[in-house]
Formats: sequence, structure tokens, C-alpha cells
Amino acid sequence: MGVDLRDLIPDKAIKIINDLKELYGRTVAIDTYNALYQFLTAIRQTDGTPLMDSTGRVTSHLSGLFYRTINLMESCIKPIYVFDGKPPELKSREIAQRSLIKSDALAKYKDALERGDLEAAYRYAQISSKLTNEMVDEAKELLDAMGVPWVQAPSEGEAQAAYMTLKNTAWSAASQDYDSLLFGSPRLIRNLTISGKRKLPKKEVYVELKPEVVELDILLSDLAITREQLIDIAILLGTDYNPDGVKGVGPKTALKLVKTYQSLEKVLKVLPEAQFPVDPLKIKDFFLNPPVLTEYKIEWVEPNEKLIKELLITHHSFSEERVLPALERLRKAFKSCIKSKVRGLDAWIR
Amino acid sequence: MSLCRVVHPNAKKFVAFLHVVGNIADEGELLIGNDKAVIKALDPARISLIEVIIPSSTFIEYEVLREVSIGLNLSSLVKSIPKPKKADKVTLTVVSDEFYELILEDDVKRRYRFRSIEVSPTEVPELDLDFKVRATILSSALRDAIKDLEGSEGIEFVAELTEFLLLKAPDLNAQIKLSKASGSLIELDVREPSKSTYDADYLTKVADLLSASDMLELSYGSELPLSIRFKLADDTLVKYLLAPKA
Repeated sequence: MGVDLRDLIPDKAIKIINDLKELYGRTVAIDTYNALYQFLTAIRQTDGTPLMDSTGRVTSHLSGLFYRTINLMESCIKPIYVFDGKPPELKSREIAQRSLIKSDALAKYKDALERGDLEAAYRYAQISSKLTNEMVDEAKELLDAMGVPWVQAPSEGEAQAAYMTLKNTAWSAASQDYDSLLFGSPRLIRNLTISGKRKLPKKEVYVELKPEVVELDILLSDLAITREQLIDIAILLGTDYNPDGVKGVGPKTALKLVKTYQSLEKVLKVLPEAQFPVDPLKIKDFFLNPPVLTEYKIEWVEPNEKLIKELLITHHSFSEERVLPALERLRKAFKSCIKSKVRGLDAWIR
Repeated sequence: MSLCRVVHPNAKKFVAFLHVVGNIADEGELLIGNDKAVIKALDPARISLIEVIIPSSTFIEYEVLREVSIGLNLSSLVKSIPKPKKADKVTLTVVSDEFYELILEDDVKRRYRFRSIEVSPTEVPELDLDFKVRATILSSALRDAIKDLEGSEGIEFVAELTEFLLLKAPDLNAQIKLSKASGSLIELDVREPSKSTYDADYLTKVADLLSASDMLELSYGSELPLSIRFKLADDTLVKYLLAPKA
């Protein structure tokens, strides 16, 4: 789920992207698990059933990954997909909690289907979405066939994406969650893999989600805090490693406390009743020093259309009529944006 | 009292400028100063920049209280305005820093009110561009060449001698020669042999506007942007700058 910092981020630290071309030529390290969960959640039939092939295997993740990656590459955005590795021990409580929520949602989904309540079924189906190891392997296989690089993080994907952004391998990390900012990414793009119109839950209201870039430097200077203090605030609000945060402490209070007492260590002294499932200082240390892969090879290569067709059309019953034009778009995007690229006028204009 | 009110005698032409600029970018800037109005837009990928400079003398009425800058939402603007008739004139009134109005007028008056949007101004320091090749070309010849090479990944401009300029599309196995002998090339100054490739899609976007002029000035260099400048019959100057492909 990640930490929710939305209410703290000043408007000036956020740039709304009205057209993907505004990110032209940018390399983006994408939190893949986050993106795949979004595809699994969003790409469903009206009763909540995910897309499936002729043998009943879920294909929503492949559909989303394939078409969205092409959309990004057509705007000359160069994606690098970063996969989560082994979750840290600190996260075990959150993982157990998520598992319970999903089991409960699955039972409610079945019940809603029996009652014929399609709206509820859709909602619970979304919550019960599970990303299996097989799906992750298929996603890697598809990316290999598309010629798109991916990196296997040793632990949290967002930490790896942040490291790659800090090292200028990527221009920005991309995720719905804000954690990569805590891991030190200078930039975060949200809504990159799910932009477009989305229905609000339980309402017949659609909102337009546009990608947005959050700049860490502007955020920190506007709030007059350091990255360490941002982590302190996040821990007070609740992170993946202490999902409940500190009872009664919201964004404004957390900011005030951290600015007044300067560090989490000192804040905890005035909050003796605060409870944490794990040592909060260990959480802080994890955000500051996460395990990351420092050696990796990033290369975009020509898409292997035969392999893509085999995987999507032969093995997973994708419609040839939809895949073939998309392949044409991918081929064109690779040639015009990856193989040779336009530099942009930035070197000549001010 | 409005901040400015200008009347252009040819609504069809004025709206055509908006369409061409809107084809390049969704947003643009209209600067109305004492002696000229400038429509300027940089496309979202920051690959091409277009400026349309209309001198105040082109307008039949030109009242400017102070210099104003309007942020144009071109995508919605061009959709909202119907195709003007040949005899229409257009009146642009900047009501305040927030709103502006366009009135298309012949027998009937059609009034459109728009909100100015926030756009970041962009300046082009021309002195930074040390072009190695400068050519004067028949506009129709360049337009036809671009149209003939439409669909290619990129058009390579090659100038080595002063007699001809080559436009190549290697992926289409096609090349077009603009030469002094054929009359399509009027002048060519090659300070340094240069070849550079430019995106064909972006060139196509501006090609239609070329038909409104007789001659154009084209400048470029290896790994430098391509500059195309031309004047229309009413002295309106169009400047187009396109980044090279790496």
C-alpha cells in the first residue's frame, strides 16, 4: 500500500503531465509489482472477472503491461521495469494483514456473485487481486520479448528504482506509492501506468487521472525539512512496515512534531504511548539504507515479434486483430524513439 | 475597457495559423505588443518551436493599451471555432488577463469567449545557432519534397556543394534533389558540408503552411536544429525550429 503523503505535498512540488510527450526522452524506473497490481485490479469484466485465456489463466497483467508499455514508448518514454525481490522481515505484519484482507474479499466476491450484486462483486474482485509468481515470470518473459529492460531488486522495487534515479540510470521512479521518495528518489511519477478515466468506487462518477511528477527537492524545501525528517513523518503516519502509524497523528500533527523536535528519536520521547509492530528506528534505517543492486545492465533491444505473438496469441489467446497493430506501433516506437532519437530543443532554448 | 482590440481582415488565414500551431502543440502563447502580435508554441516533447509574427500593419484595427500575453488552449480553441468564410474578418479582444474573445464577422457575428491558460514563455536565442548551411528555396518545392517523403522515419538534409541540397529518406530508398539547375533552389551557402536528420512527422506538420508563401529560408548544420523562415504576402513572418535526430 505504501505511505500516503498526498496531504503533505505542496502544489508547487507537483507538475501535472497533460500529455505523455512532456516526458519525451525520459528514462523511467517503474515499480513493476505496483503496475501489475494496477493492471490486475483495473482490467476486468463488469462482474469483476479478470481477463483470462482459453484455459482459464489470468491475462489482465499481460494485457496492461503490453499495451501500456507501447503507449509509453510511443511518447519516447524509455521504461525500465523494476521487480520486487524478497520482502524485508519488517514487512511481515503488513503482508499477513494484506493476505487476510484478500481472503476476506475473495469470500465476499463469491457471495456477491451468488447474490447477483455485480457492483459489489467487481469491488471485492479488485481487492482480492493476487499477483502470483507465475504472473511475474510471464511479465518478465513478455518484457524480454518486447526488448524492454527489467531489473530484479534484491528487496523493495521502489528502493531499487530510487537508487537507479539517484545514479542517473533513470530520470524518475514511477509508482502510485510515495515510498520511492523516502528511499531518496529525486523524482517520482504517479499515475504513469494507470492514467485515463477511472470510475470512483460505489459512485457513477469518473475522474480523469493524469500523470504527475513530484519533485523531492521542492517538497523538502517548501516544508523546510530534510529527507530524514520526511521519513520520520512517514513513520508517524504509517508505512508498509508499521501500517497503523501512531494513533491520533495525522499529516499536520506529524509535520509539526517533527519540525518541533527535529527527529523521530526525540518525537518518540513525547509520544510514550505510541506503539509500533517493529522498532521504528529500524524502519528509518531501512529507508535510509535499503538493500539494492548496484551493478545492472540496461539495454533496449529490437522487439522479437515472433516471441511476442507466441506468448500472447498462441499461449494466451490474445486477439490477433489487436496484437498485430500494437506490434506495428511497438516496432515504430522502437525505431523512432529508442534506436534513433530526437534530442529536443533544450540545448538551444532558454 | 479592454486591454487590447485587434481586427484581422482575413479570419480564414488567422484561424489557419491557429490550426497549424495547434497541430504542433496543445498550448501556445499569444503576445500582443505595440507593433506586432506573436503566436508562439513549443510542442510538449520540446522538439519543435513555431512562431507566427503578424505585424500591426496587417491588422485593420490595432488598439493596444499595454502589451498582453494570452495562454492559448489551442486544442479546444480550434475545435470551438467553425471554419471561417473567405470574407470573414476576426476581432480579438483581450478583456482582462484572464479572458479573451474572438468575434468572427461577415453578415452574422459569432462571438467566442475563452479563458487564458498559464503557459511558460519560451525564448529563442538566435545567436546561439551557428548554422553551417543557409539556403533560399521555392516553398512549393520543399513542401512537395516533404510530402513525397512522408511516412519515413526521418529526412536527412545533405549539403556538400553549393549547387544542390539533397533530402534523403533511407528507409524509403528515396531522395529528392533541390538544385539551382531545376530552379527549386535559389541560393545555397555551405560554410561547412553538413548532414543532419529531422523527424518527418514534424516536418509534415508545417508543410501545409508553406503553400501560403513563395520562398523560404532554410538553415541547418550537422547536429544542429533546422530553421525554416518564410514571409506571407501580408508580411506575416513564420519561424519554425526543429531539433535534429541523434
